[in-house]
Amino acid sequence: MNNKLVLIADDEVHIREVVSYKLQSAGLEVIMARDGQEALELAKSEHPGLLIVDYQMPGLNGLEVCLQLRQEPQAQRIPAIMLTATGRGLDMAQAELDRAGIRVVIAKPFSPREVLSCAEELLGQEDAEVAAEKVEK
Amino acid sequence: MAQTVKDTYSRSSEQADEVESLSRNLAETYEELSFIYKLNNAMNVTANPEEYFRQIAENLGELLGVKAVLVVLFPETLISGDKDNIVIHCGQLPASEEQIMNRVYPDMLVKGGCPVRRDPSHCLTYAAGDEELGQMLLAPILRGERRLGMIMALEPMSGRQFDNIDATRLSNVANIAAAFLENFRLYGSLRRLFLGSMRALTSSIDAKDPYTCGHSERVALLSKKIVELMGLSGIEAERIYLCGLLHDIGKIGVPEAVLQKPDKLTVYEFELVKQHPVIGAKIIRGIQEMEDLVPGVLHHHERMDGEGYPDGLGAKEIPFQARVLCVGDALDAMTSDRPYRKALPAKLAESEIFRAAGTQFDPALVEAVLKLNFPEYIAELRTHKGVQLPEDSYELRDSVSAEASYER
Repeated sequence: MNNKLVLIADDEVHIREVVSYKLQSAGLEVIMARDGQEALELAKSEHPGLLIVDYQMPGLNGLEVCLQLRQEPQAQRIPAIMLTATGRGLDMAQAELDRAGIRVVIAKPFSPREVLSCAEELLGQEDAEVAAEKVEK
Repeated sequence: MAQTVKDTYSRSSEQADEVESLSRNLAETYEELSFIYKLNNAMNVTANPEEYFRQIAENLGELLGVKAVLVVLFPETLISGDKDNIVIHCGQLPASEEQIMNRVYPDMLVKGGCPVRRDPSHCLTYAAGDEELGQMLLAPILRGERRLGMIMALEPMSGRQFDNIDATRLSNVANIAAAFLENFRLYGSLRRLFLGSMRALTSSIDAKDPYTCGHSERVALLSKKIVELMGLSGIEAERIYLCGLLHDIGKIGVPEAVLQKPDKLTVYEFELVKQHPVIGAKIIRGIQEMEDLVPGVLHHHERMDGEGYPDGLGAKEIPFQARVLCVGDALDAMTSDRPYRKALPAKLAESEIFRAAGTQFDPALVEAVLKLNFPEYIAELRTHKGVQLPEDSYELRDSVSAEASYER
């Protein structure tokens, strides 16, 4: 897993561009997907350290993408931030979000700064977990 | 061929730059929008104004990319009669708040007097090099012509110049702040008017009965104190206070001769007195804003053992408000003179309350009462506006003989 690489999946170009601009200006690398299927494939092939995924997308929605990734041995640990315009996700039980690996749900319109600080925090946690595992081994 | 490739390359690199610039602008706009939403959402009139302005200062600093934000609220903006500025800032101020104020205050007072530029947003821009002060951007917080305060952004990061976009953003925030302050003021004056009217109303009940003079207000304060000792605050404590103020309002329907009778009441007379919670509940039931106080008023004479009135409710059925008022009421009754007995000393009243824990009173509330610092409470009563303190009572007397009687 590349802990500098973030996969952004949203069918709306302005969201993709804003989030990627904000992350890149903080020194992170970004790959982008336009729908759920593309997100799934990129996540499997590129091993990003974090997924930022919109709930509402054509084909697979954000939740389905995350749930399917849980089935993939090489991608099941990727944490996710879910963006939502409809409020779907905000009303979901924590257990259901956990099952999909969704750590944070952010309502649109969002503050790009907030998305960045969540992303940095989650990537940092992942680093710490990996380090802890290495120590255990 | 080579030329075409070169052209294509330079075009696509131009396009990449354009996309980046668009994205940057878009990200800033998103940031601004989300900040304004946040400010509007936090614009709750019961919010602590200083906390609200702290939030403004912190977010504004990041939004505008400046080293410091300074908010100054002028005297009388928050508290009437206040003589000092309220100052809130975040980040490192380039000079003392006083130095900054001295520099900008005259400009705020002069109409049209403009240090560098005065734009339609009412913002003042100061160039760097004024004494040791760097670049500053100031937006007054205005209500009509009146200046309530000001918000200043100080020293943009990475040496850029303040521009019109910064000024528009700052004045936008100042306008939201002005609306917040106006709401805060209106809410405060409405609240004072409401509480004043309620006090006048309950004083008129108390006036019917010279022995319980000031009782309602004292029960209100005591009950509020008790729930505060239990960790409640804000709106909840305020509702208990109001409920205490109104708890005996039904006495308006009880004959004065009964209320003022110095001797022990007959069974019939006591039945009349026992109607006052029911009458009180009826009086306030019609007022939508007081619906939530009805259970407290109706049941403040219920007892934990089910022997109270009007409904003889059991421990678990008595509403919380009513249980609080019951203790507050008894405590005040015991520590003030009554037609049929003198006041009890505070210590003795406390032990009476303790003795009745579980039978008359909720033990959890009794525990809170035991935490009550009586001398402090009495001192507070004396300074509280609108409380009439009966002569001599509430002093911590050493010995008074007292007997339990009907507490009305």
